[in-house]
Amino acid sequence: MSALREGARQVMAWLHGWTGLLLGWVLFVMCLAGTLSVFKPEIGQWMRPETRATADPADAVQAATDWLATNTRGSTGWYLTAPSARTNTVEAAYDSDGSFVYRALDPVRGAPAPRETLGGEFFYRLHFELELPYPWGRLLASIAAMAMLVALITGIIAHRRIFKDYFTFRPAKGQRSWLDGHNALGVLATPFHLMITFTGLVTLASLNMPWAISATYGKDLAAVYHDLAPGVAERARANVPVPLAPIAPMLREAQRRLGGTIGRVYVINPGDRAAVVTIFRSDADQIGFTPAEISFDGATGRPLRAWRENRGAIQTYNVVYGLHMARFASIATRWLYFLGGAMLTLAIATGLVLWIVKRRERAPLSLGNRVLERLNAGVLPGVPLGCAAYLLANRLLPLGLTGRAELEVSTALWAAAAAVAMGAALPPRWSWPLLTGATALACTLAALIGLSISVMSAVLLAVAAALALLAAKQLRPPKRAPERRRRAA
Amino acid sequence: MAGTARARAGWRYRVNVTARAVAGTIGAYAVAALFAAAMARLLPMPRVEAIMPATLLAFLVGPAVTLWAFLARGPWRAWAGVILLAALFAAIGWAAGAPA
Amino acid sequence: MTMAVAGLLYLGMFALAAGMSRHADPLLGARARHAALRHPARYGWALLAFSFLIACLAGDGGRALVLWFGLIPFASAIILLGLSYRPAVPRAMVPVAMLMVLLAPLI
Repeated sequence: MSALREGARQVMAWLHGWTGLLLGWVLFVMCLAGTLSVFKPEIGQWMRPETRATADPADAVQAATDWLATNTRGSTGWYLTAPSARTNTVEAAYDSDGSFVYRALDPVRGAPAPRETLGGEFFYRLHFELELPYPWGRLLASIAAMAMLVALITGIIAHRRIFKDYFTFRPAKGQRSWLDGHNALGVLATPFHLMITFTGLVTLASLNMPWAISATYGKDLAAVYHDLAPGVAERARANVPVPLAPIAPMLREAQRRLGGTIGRVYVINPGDRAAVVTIFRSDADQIGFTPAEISFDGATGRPLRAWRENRGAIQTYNVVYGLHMARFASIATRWLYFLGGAMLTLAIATGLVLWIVKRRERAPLSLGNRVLERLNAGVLPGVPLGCAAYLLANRLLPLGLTGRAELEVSTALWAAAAAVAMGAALPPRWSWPLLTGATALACTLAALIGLSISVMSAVLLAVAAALALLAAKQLRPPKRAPERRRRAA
Repeated sequence: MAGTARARAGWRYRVNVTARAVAGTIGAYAVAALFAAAMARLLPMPRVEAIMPATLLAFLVGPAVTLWAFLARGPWRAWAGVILLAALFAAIGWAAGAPA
Repeated sequence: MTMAVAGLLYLGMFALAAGMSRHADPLLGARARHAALRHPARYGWALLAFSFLIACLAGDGGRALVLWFGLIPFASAIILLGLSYRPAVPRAMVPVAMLMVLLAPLI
């Protein structure tokens, strides 16, 4: 190994450590929330146990628009997602009297589900918006994703024996074990990590890398949107009230023309003469996102324009986008996405822990590192605690409470904040097992209250068991690490 | 980057690292952005299609420049590379001109 | 088809691990000295390539290919954790994987 190569590896290791540290906690939240979002529809179903009815997707969307027509005022748009094999409700984002809301609508009655909740949408939004207002949340997520990409590449370059150490994990050896674990979590799923990070950046490209668009379209965003999706008809509001034509025939016509199944349905300016209904083919039918769309005149149901994407460059982009969203995935592939995401989340967590463990084994921690150690102890078990608290709040909060959905989210955020505060206040030796144990308890309670027997409850119990074992391990007094000669990383 | 503890604490080291860090973050982003703009204008395809490879590749250019900023033999060379690439892509983008 | 890809991938990973001097004994045991099992790493790479090829030819719009990439960490983790805690598990998975490959064309 030449001196030049060794020097480059050390630089890469240094850069890997610092990019990981600076944005590690943000990335931890993003990866955990993203991993949970793989099962966004299933989580939504679990969180709305009263809503069990199923209906044909076209009929369900009809029921939804019927309810929306009588229960909203001054809507500029209804953005619906038709039911599918994974979810029985119509997901609806719509505005009424100026403010946007998100509800899951019953497929038969069209009214919002009795248990008002964001469902899996909370994890999805947390993942790319970090509960921050637009555009700051997405910008922070973009910066973190760019750092993640650098961290991945530098990690790969810095790793000295990436093939020889591929199957190596030596437990119970202090820093050695943490490094082995961190490496294994990163290397075994490197293709996944690189793919998910790169594609994730691409999903936010319109915000964080719009320069190709601005260099070719200037400020004419309407033209961009029109060129990208020619099947979407856009026209100004006429301000003449005309009821929306029956939507189910439009959906069936769309299915006939576009093939596959119905995905998203956008009703722009409902109740106006210039209303437009745009129907997109389901993103679950193929890897590529937004493969085809058709627009109808809202007042008459007459088709206006349709488009099946056949442009290579745009199909490539759609596939990149679709790979991140994983809507195409079969159940097996979905669990593999979940595994990959979990491994990335744990890789970040072990990396943050390793920063401390490495320095602690050399010398007593500096003040800065002691702060970081406490931050680790608060954030790493605290964010999962927040997620578990969210699920538990879903089971405990009474139905019909105003602002119930927001209250569930607040519970999650306050629980996580309390955990971070606890991590700051208590010695890490106590905060780690306390918070891990609390998360195990929250998961157990969330699974058992209401006694709904489901895959998700089983998964929650399994997670709770694993966390309880982890908390027990954390309670054991720390072993004195054997004196080691300092080796280059 | 390796050195004695005294070297690490010295101001020379701090300036070195800071200069590279700025080159590797803001500089790398600027180069990627200019690359995206230049490529979108240069590619001989309808503009809605050109923006795709331009944007996708820009996300690879960025990290590459970040690596350069830290692997270059000195902070001056790091910045020289960044400025050179930025100027090159800016020139290409300007010469290609906005599409009709 | 998924079964064939998964089975071949696991066998390939197992062979690669068995080809490493530090992992050969726990994974192959007494069989390590058998002549036919020299250079298992070559068989490993061949099995991986073959499973990749089958995934490419699946004709389901790339889904099998995505699955292939997703199975790598899964198969590797079984072997890695097995080597650290219970080598009998990855050894026991070998006949299971072989069965998956043999039964796949029948399903």
